[in-house]
Parts: sequence; structure tokens; C-alpha cells
Amino acid sequence: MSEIEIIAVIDIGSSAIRLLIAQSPFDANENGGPRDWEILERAEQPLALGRDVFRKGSIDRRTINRAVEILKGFRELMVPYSVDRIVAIGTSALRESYNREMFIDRVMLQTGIEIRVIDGVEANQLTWLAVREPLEEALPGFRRHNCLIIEVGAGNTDLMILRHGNISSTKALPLGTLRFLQKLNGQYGAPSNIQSFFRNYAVRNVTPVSHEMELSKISKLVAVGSDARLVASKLGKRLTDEMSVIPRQAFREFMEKIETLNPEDIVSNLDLTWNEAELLYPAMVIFDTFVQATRADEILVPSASIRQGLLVNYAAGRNTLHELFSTQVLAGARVLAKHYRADLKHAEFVRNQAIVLYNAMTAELGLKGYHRLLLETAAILHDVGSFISGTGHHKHSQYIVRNSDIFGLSAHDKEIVAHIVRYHRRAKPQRTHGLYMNLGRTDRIVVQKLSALLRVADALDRSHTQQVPIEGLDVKDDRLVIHTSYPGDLSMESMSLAEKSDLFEDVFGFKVILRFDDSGQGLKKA
Amino acid sequence: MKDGKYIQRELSWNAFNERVMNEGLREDLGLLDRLKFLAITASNYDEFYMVRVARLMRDAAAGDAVYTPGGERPSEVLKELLNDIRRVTERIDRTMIRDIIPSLVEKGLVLLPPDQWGRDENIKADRVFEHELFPTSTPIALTEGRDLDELVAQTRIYAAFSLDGGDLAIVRVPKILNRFRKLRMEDGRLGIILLEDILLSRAERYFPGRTIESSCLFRVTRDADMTVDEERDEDFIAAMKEVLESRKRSFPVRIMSKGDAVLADKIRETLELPKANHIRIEGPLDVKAFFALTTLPGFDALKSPVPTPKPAEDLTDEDDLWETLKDRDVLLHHPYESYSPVIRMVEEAAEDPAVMAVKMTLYRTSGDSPIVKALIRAAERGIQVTVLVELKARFDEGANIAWASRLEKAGAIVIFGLAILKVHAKALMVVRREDEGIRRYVHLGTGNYNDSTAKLYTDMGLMTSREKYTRDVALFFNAVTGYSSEPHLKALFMAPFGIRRETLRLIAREAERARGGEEAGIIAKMNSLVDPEIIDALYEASSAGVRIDLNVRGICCLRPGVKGLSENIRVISVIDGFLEHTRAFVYNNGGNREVYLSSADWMTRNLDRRVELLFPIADPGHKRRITRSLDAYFRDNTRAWELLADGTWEMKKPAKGEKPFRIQEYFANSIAALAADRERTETSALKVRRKPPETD
Repeated sequence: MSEIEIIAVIDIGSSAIRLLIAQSPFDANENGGPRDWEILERAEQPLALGRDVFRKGSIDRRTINRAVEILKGFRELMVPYSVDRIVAIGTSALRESYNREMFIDRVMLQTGIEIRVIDGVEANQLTWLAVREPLEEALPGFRRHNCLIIEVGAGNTDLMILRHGNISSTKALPLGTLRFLQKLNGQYGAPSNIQSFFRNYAVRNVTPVSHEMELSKISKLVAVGSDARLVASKLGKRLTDEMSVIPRQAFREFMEKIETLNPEDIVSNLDLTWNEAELLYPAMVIFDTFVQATRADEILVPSASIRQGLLVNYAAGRNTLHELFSTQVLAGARVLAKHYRADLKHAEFVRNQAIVLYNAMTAELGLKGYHRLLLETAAILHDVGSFISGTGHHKHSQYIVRNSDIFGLSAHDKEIVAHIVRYHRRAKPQRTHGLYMNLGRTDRIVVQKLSALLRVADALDRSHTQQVPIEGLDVKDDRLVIHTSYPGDLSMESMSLAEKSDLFEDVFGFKVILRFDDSGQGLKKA
Repeated sequence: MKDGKYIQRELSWNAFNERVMNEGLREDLGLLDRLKFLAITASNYDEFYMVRVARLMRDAAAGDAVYTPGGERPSEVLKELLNDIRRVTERIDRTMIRDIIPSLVEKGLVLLPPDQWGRDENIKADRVFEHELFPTSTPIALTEGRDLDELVAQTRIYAAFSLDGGDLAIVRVPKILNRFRKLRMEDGRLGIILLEDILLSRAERYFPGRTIESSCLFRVTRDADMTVDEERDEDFIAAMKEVLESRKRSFPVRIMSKGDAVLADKIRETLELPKANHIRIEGPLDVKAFFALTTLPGFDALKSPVPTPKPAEDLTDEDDLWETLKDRDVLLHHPYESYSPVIRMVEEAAEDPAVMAVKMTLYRTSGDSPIVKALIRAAERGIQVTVLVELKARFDEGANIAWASRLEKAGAIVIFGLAILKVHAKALMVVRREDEGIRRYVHLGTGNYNDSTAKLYTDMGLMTSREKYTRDVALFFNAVTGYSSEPHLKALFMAPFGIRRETLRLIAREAERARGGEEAGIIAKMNSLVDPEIIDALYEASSAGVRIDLNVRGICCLRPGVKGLSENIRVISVIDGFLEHTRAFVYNNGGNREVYLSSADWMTRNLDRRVELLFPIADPGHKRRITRSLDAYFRDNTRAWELLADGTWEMKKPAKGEKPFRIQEYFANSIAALAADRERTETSALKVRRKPPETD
């Protein structure tokens, strides 16, 4: 019998703090696969973090006190379960506030809960992961559709475009419910103008994006967030357990109907509280603007429980985001490489060689699985800088990687990839390299190890002909012997290897030797 | 008022109290049972005056505006209501002096007025007066400028005297002294003389040198005080407001008097009470206090035997509680079935090393209840105990706070209710850490966690470990204990967020089915039916052809059997030895029957201003059991009343050739038979066993 593991996940969002306590599955499901974690407790308290941060840039003292109070309550709830681990994550509102460090520190001191702030990319990843499966279930063949995932927040609206089942671009628009209200307070007094004001404002913001993101080609709209769920609970119908749908027609008709109503009537029409209604109406106008900018025939709204389940899996460390995202990340890297007209064949070849090396060196590397993904990404992107100039192209590559969006990579991961790319040739990492020294010690070691591998992999295709695949690896004494059966001239590769294996020798202490071997005997299969 | 769409609620309440009083008139009942019903009726009136009559008086005085859906003015209601109450009160009085007291004398309980006292009584009276009454009571002269209103305390008995020269004085009958003075009579019978009679008969001692020209006894009831009975009071928020106002100004609402009429009138006038609020009686004041006589030892023959609770059909004491609940749900029907499974759940949790937490709502209970003791033990053992205590309910507040703080000291988390909403839901949850992981067990009920009332009230409860339920109950507790905001429940419904909407949906669904030609029906049992929105929905369902059977013990504002409005609705009320308290609802749903239990009545305050739970029954056997029970109520032809279209209630009687059927007796017998049967099976199983049980 395996030990039961109980974890608590705290999600500090922009409008609420949520708690989940879950226990690890005890037995297998009917297919023999692992069951989902069982949710034991749920709690949720509204907290206007987003409002504070949007209005003042920082979190109000009273809000912090309230947060501490809520979290103390959550701690109390956890007591009887003797929770093994608490994972607390904070999203955009916390990330964007000036005083987040102070907030995190107070929470830590007073409740013992350590909050990890996830970056925008990670947040997007979570959203996408939360939506993916229910979307597949609710909409078979969704990969054939161009989808727009939209989340309306207090200050911004996050957009994700999905093509062929992968995220092709993301964007944050300065269009949000509170931003709306603020503009309104500043400029308009007469309620009769509210609706046309909202609409004009939304259209003005959406039109430029509409062209850039080709919104007219979007056939499915996926709306996430509490406002969307509220609208779905009023207008939508259940499609699956985890997905509701609002037909375009029904939504449009409703919007046209409320256009003629005053805010009081809207409240009573939707059976809302004033609190809900205040932000819901602007959110609906934003949704509607996107509905009209696209040819979406329906709005799909996933339920809240999915995100919660996902967070549990995330916190449980079952599948790290990186693993879940490897395909997505590599696809993103390839799009980028293509964009900068890199030699894609070379890039893929180097990536494959790097994988072989990585796998062979697992023990010496002592790294986690997702580092391999970083290496692969760097392999695909190592030459993109050549687009600017062949001279110092490794530095141009670094610049490009640092300043591009690769969906699935967090800002931190991207920084590491940029450094691996930077050191794929020429100078080794040095204390005089400012950016490099900005990395933490652990990260610097990762960069050294992975660039060492990349250098060797790259050297083996010096000719960009993909003729020298690694067919075997052998570690003898202080030498790493690479076997290949390529019968032709190996001098170019050998020379390049001699030049570029310097870092490898420094890091791992092995000399790298390339050896022709067509016997097929005695080779350790890579 | 006689033919509106809704029956006026105060008048309906009085009709209920009259039905209770009527039990006191039944000659087929034991004498002390009858006395008990009269005492309950009187007690109900005390509280009703404090809250509802007071409110009507205030509303009538403050503009007399219409605020009820029926459209009556408070003054109109008040007029009719006070008349009705006077009629019932006088009936109680007549029954006491002409029937109950003489019959008790015959049976050996000799309650005598002073003019029939013999030597023994007079000796006793002298002794009580000299040693007890005189030292503890003082006459107060009612002089000019002295406010009688301020002197007269809530519901105490006072004696008033008119002295020579026209002076008036009052003496309070001390509450600390026993009102019923017992003496063993020469013939061995038990004699009882009343304290106020002793005081009156020897009152000249208070006024040496003066002559008492006339005297009377009186008792004044005032506007609501802190002792509002929540279970009976109809509107909690209003009542609390009244409590706050009463601190400033608690005005008298009723005077009852016995003795000299002129003097009593004078007292009433001093109190500025209208004649309508004055009831003169001839028998003893404060009949409620006669409850004490119903428990006197030696007179059990004057009471009908109360059926003892039997082991529950679903869970006997031998069954392992947790293992059973892992396997199936347990339905409990109290008081026919024992309350012990509920107590066991808390007690076993307290001793169980696997238990991590116990959470429960405690609405009315007492410090010596085994549940509270078990909770304290559990907390002391380090189990996280969370208790939601509702202090606004009436019981001994001091003692109540005492056990609550004992719980706190033991380490329990005690939450003293919510700010605005009162928690009326009855829920208990036990969290165990088992080999397979955490598992929760819940009990949900229609009655309070009070082991004494569990023997007297009919209630139902459900125990389950189904994840759907435990998940929602956990959310419910997180909400009411302040850890979480409004919960999104999946299987259960919670007031004030969802019970009203769900109930309206269920009623409308039946109506929809009826319109589509299906056989549609609703059976609902509750304590009171008041909410106009629900009533309208029922009218609409009736018009659509839904067969609606309502079993409403108390107030019913719905008017049944009116053509074009409610011809498919019938309403009965059962008043018997056990207080009908179950709230249960059956919706036909096209044959796929849905059955619910709830802590909430169909009253506006329960649906909108209280925290309540409505929960479905999942087990098909349980659904059948509840449906059959609810159906059986309509066969009662001895303790049931039927509400007529004109708003009056008619007692049901066996038709010619029909056998008498009494629902409470039926339940007691059938459940006892089942229990006996099970016991026989078990015993006979032992008899036929031919080899020793296998051990493993």
C-alpha cells in the first residue's frame, strides 16, 4: 500500500483566493491508469487584489490584512488533514503589484505559506492546459479550428490564438473591466451614454489587433474566467461536465436586448447582484466585440473545476509544465527558426545529436528532464542570429531569443535558452559577461553544461550536411569516444570538434574523440 | 379576510394553537396528557403575544399600513385575532376548572381553591405564608406618579388590592418559591394548594389596620424580550429588531386577570391596555406552569404510554458505523427509531484515532447532552472540532455560554453564528484518515442535535459517506465557518442562496409535466407554509393539474380546494403526542421520483434569511420508505385535521365502516414490529447454527 499524500493548493488570483486540499489517488482506475486526485476541501474568498493593483499599482494595506486573515483560515482548514505540502501560487495581480515582495513576506511570516509568483507565460500555460482537454472532449476535431482563447481581466484582456491545436500567438490588450469603469468615471456622467461608450472603446482597441491576429479566421471562441462563467450560467447550456456553450445567436440577441435597458434592468434581467453586475457588463461588451470581430458560431466556457484540478496536478509535480509543453515549445521554436530563415535541417540534426549526448551523459549532468527541453530549444534556435549577420551570430541569436515569445517557456527558461545559444560558439562563459553573471549560480552551471553539449553537437555538423550522425558513444578513462560510420572525410568535423569541445572538457573532464567505425561491433548503441 | 388568496398567517397560527388545545379536550386521552396539551397551548400564547401580537400592535399604531400579501390592515387582523384568542383561552380556562381539575381530584390529585381548604390545607398555608411568602414579598402602593408599567415584570403573577380609602397596592408572587405546594392528606391523597391562593387568603397581614375591599390576581405579558423562541417565532429579523427596541420601551400586550373585575379594569387602564387585550378567567393563571404536574411521580396511569425508540432499521448498535456507511446510506426516522446512531457518530468519532476532524451545527442543545460531552472529549484528544453555535435560539443562555466556553477551552473552534443570517441547518461531518485515504461521513437532519427533543419530535436524518454529499457538506461548513464565501454546491441546496430557486424549479417542473399530460404530483410535509411565491407556484401547479398533498403542522397561508385556484391541493395537519417536525418533499418527476429532506420550512424567513440545507435522498429504498410514510399521513383519521377552502380546519373522523388510523401509532407499531422481527431472526439464526462461526 502506498502512502496517501495530501497537498494543499492555494491560488491567489486577481479577484479571489482559492484553496484546494486534495489527496493522492489510492487505486488505479478501471483502465489501470492513475486516478485523478480527490478533492477534499474547497474554499474561496473574494479578494480584490486586481482592483487594488490596477488602481494604485500596489496592494492596499487592508487587502493584505484580509489576505492574511483568509490564509490563516485556510491554514486552520488544513490542520485535520495534516497536509504534506502547500503550494501557493500568485498570478498576474500579484506579479504586477509594486509591493508584492512585502505581501509575500507578510503572508510567509504570519501564515507560514510561501507564495510563488508565476509569470505571464506560465499563467498562459495554465490557462491553455486547463482548456485543452475539455476542449478536445467537447469539440472533437477542434484542431481543425482556429480558436481564440480570451480572458477578460481588470486591466487587460489576454488573448491566445490557437491554430492546428497549438498556440500560435498570445497578446495582452489594455482592455479590462476596471479600466472601462475608470474611463467611464472620468468622462461620462449620463448612463444613456455608457453602452455606446463601452462599445466604441472596445471596438477601437480590438480593430487593430483584429487585423494583426487575423481574427476574421477565428471560428471558435473560448472564454475563461469568472465573468465568462457567470455569463455562461445565465445564457449557456451544458455541453459536457466541464464545458458550457453559448451559441453566437443567443449571445448576440441578448446583447441587443440589453442595449435598450438601463443598468438596473440588466441586473434584474440576469438575476445578478450589483457587485457581480458592475464588472460583468463591461466584460460582456468585450466578449461581444470579439464575437463580432470573429466568425465564431459559439462561445465555449470551461468550468472552474478544471483549473483547480490542473493546479493540483501541477502542485503534485506529476507532470511539470515543461513536459506538458515540450511539443508546444519546440513548435514555437521552429516557427521562430523559420521566421529567421535558419537552416532547419541543420537545426534538427543538431537537436538530435544533442539529445543523444544528453541521454548518454545523464549521470554526469545531474539535471532534470525539462533541461533537455531547454537544450533542444537552444539547438533549434542556435543559428537564428545569422539572419542579422554571420559575424557574432551567437550574440544576435541570444538577442533574438531573449526578445521573442516562445509559448510554453517562462521568462526564466527563455533566459537560459538564450545563454545556451550565446555560448554555442566562441567565448566560453566568463565572469566579465554581465548578462551571464546576472544568472543565479545554479543557472550558470546549467548553461555551462548544456552549452557544452550543444557545442559538441554543432561541431558534428560543421558542414551542414547531416552526414555524421552519432552511432555510438563510449566512455573510456577520460575520453568520450563518438563513433560514426560515415565513410567520407571527417576532417572538418574533427577540427571543429577539437575547437569546440573545450567547454565540454572543462565541464565534464572528458576529451571528445570522433572515430570512424563501420564494424558494427562493440558499439554501445546510443 | 375570509376569502382572499392567502389565509392570514396570525389567524392561521391561532387555528394551529386551537388544534393543540383541542387535544386537551379529548376525553379519550389520559388526564395528564390533556393537561400537557393545555399547558402547551398556554405557553404558545405567551410567546405569540410577546412577538406577533406585539408586532401587530406596533404596526397598527404606526400608521396601520398593509404589508402582507393578503392585503389586510394590522388593526383588522388584530381585532379578529384577539377575539379568536380570547375564545380559545376561555375554553382552556373552562376545561381546567370544570373538567381537568375536578377529574384530577377524583384520581387523587387534589387541587383545591381556598374556600374548600380544610384544616391541613390551612396549617400548610399559614406555614408557607409566615416562613416563605411574607419575608420575600413586599406590597407596593400605587400612588400618583408611580408607573405601574415599570413595576410589572414579564409574565409574573401579581396580586392587586383595593384598600379602604381607595388606595391601591400590588404584591408580586415571588418566582423563587414553588408555586405548587404539596401536602399529604389524611386519606392519603396528594393535596396541592397554589402559592397565589395562599398569598390572597392571608393578604391582610400586609396591610395592618387596613381593610382589603377587593382583590384580584393578574399577569402581564410584554412586548418581545430576549427570550424569543426562535422555533416558534415567525420572523427572526423582525423579532431581533423588536428585542432591540424593547430595551428602550417594552410595552404591555396582554393582561390576564382573575378576581375582582373592577379592580382588574383599573389595573388594565393604568397600563393603557385596550379591553381587547384583557382576558378574565376563573381558573388558575399561567396554565403553562401546570406542565410541572404532568411529571409528578405516581400518576403515570393518567398518561398514555409513550412508545420507546427502537433500534434503527438501517443501523443497529452492533453494526460498525463507519463500515456500514462505506457500504450504504442510513436513513433514520425519529423518535420511532432511536437517536443513538447520531450520538454514536459523535461519541465514536471522539474515541477514534483515525478521526481528524468533527464539524457540526448546534442550534439548541444543553451542556449535559452526550453530544456536547463527546465533542469536548474529542477536542481534548486533539481532534479538530469545529462547532457552529447559534446563541440566538432560546434556552438557558448562561448555561449555554458555559458549555460553549468549555468546548473552546478544550481546544474546539467555536463559531457563534453568522452576523445577519441564522444557521438553522443541521449538519454533522466526521473526517477520518483511513488506509485508502481521507474519507468523510456526514449526518444531515431535519431536527436539532438535541437528544431530549429527539424523543419527542418526529424527524428524519440521513447518514452517508457519498462523495457528492460530503463534498457539499464540507463546502457548507467552510462557508458558515467563514473560511469560504458562497459555496457552489452540486448535490445539496443551501438557503439563502439556492433552496427557494430549486423549490420553485421543482414545482414548475411538475406543472410542466402536468401540462404535457403526464401524471404529476407533489407531497410535502413541513411545519409552516407561508411564503407567497411558493404558494403562488403551488396554485399554478394545481391549475396545471398537479396533484398536491400538503402536510403542514402549523401555519398554512395556502387556501386549498378553491376552484380555478387550488382544487388539486389538499392540506392536512397532524397534532399528536409527538411534535410533527419532519420536513420532507416528494416530486413525482414523471415517475422518476425525487425525494428531499430539509431543515427549512416554506417560509420566507427560512428561504431568504437563514442558512438551511435541502438534500436529496439517493437510495431507492429510502425514497420508497419516505414516500410511503408521507402518503400514510393522509390516512390518519383520528389525529389529522383538514384545511377547508374557507380557511377553517375540520377534524378527520373514520367514515362509516372505516377503521380508525393514527399515523404516529402506525409508525411506532410498524417500526417496533420490524425491530422485533429482526431480533427474532437473529435469535433463531443462533438456534439453528450447527457449527461454530468461522474465524479468520
